[in-house]
Amino acid sequence: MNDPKRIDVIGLLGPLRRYARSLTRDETQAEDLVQDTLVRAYERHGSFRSGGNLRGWLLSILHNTFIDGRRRHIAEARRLEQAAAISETAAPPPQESQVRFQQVQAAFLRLPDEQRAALHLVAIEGLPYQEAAEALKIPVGTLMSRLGRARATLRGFEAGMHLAPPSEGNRPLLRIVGGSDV
Amino acid sequence: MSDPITETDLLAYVDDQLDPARRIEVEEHLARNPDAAARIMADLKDRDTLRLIHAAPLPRPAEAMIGAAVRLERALGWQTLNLKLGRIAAVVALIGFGWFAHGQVGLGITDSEASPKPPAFVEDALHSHETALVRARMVSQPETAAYDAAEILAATGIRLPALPEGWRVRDAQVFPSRDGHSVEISVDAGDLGRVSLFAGHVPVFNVIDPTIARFDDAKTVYWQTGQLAYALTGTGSDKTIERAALRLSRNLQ
Repeated sequence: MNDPKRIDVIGLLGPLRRYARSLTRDETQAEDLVQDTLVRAYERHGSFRSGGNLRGWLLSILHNTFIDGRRRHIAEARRLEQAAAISETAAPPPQESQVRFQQVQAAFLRLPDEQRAALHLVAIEGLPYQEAAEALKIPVGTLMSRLGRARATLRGFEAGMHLAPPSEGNRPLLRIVGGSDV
Repeated sequence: MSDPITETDLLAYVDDQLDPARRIEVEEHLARNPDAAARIMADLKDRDTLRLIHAAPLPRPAEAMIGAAVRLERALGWQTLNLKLGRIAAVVALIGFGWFAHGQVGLGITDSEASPKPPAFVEDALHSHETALVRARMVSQPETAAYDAAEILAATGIRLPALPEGWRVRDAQVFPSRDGHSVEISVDAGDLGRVSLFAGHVPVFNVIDPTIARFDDAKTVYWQTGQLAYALTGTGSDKTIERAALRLSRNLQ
């Protein structure tokens, strides 16, 4: 999957679908987003550099497709509904670890889009910082400052310190290494 | 004393993106700072939890998605293949041209009483001159105007003459040849137009004064000093090319 020379789109469907789920927070929309991404990638397949990083190229197209706003408004509208649905699926006897899983997932889904995207690519997909920054078209410094804020928010959630969306007040003191935070 | 541990280091520690030496430094720092260590453990726990949640197998993708993925895969595969085929076609074209030029060389000399049959390296020079013209026309074959006679001498053992003022190097390429390396320099030589200067090792020691050989589309003035052979190829008048070649051969001494 990491072999940049091999053209294996099927093998990348997993990462693309997982990323789409984190971005849209909705399974149906996520599948549509991946479908649109594949169509877009096909339309502009000439822009793929031979021997380039296929995973980064596709993740980047997926992200742009999402950002384009076609989905964004719908996603926003369904956001709370979805977050609620996730808590309700806790029908089986909630063990302690399951409760915690749901809390972490709910906190993750409530992160601002750009922090959630950064955390997904780095923490869940395990992308190197450079590759994640390229997929998001941001400097590495910006990526790291988003990661830092996302992590601080998750820690805060878990400690039960607050359940409100992150505000300016709980920003960690993080040096921006390169570029400005957008 | 190592560099102080920054927030960036702590993040990169959680994401496993530090080299082992830096990891150890971070771990030493954490061992002395229980608060920071607790925070890092919480981050690691959150990271692993998220990985676990998202590691759940996904349902089989819809047929339409597999179809779109296969279509994209084919398009990208064709693109890669076309690029390779394009390269192969270019090589085949050059080889084909080489055969053609090879066949023409013997017939093309018009001045047979005045000049002896040119040595084999003149043929090589003519071929590389034509290749340089092909390269000049091809967008995908970037030319390099960086010309460093000292570096070429050090790397190939081929001494090149100082070029007259006003000559501008357009391309400089090292080619393999039957007896080691050869160098082909493509130059905009003022009113001489585009000329090629070829220089290479030859197997037989000899001294040949500048001599002209005429071909259908170009003229070559060649000379040899010991084991190094030179040829200046262009389309200007006999006199101008001969004069330029004489000058270059003198610049070598």
